[in-house]
Amino acid sequence: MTNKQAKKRYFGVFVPSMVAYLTSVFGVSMGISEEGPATLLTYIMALTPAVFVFVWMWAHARFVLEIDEFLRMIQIKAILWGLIATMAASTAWGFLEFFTPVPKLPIFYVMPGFYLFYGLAAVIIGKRDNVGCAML
Amino acid sequence: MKNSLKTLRAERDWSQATLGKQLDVSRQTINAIETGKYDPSLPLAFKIARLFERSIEDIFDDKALE
Repeated sequence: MTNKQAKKRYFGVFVPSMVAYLTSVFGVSMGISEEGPATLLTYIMALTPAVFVFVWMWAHARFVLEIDEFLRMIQIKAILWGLIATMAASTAWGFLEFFTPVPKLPIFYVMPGFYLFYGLAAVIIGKRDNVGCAML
Repeated sequence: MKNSLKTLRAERDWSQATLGKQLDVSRQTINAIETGKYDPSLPLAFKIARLFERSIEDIFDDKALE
């Protein structure tokens, strides 16, 4: 498998899963009423957008495993630094929440935070190793 | 690790992209190996050696690591 084919396979899943994700977020926010008790259907509907995010993450993991070994090393380094930065930031914010009156952040923001840190790391490592933007 | 990949490639008048295509890796990977920024895996080192009909030791010099 060439890197080009791996990228094509990635975008073949990424684009439809993001369209489905955005559609489901819109549908769920319109369909779930904040008034009244939550039913089983409410829980299932609330989890629907996450399913499409999992599909996208699976496509990302598959992409990383399919590209050549040097680019894979860069991706894995970027993922590692993304994880370290996310864990460090969430731990630091958690302590602030315990002991100071900072606002409580929803746990939802951990995932976009990881992708932000991962993206930054991929750009920095890619630039250092002369591969351009190594994110994708 | 030092290596003679750039010289071997130049002898055949191949671009990094051409060599990468023959080895099923990217141009960036060839560049990283040539500049010593990345040491290839054993399977890739064997592939390179076979392509240039040399032994791995002929192409890669690990003396600096000793």
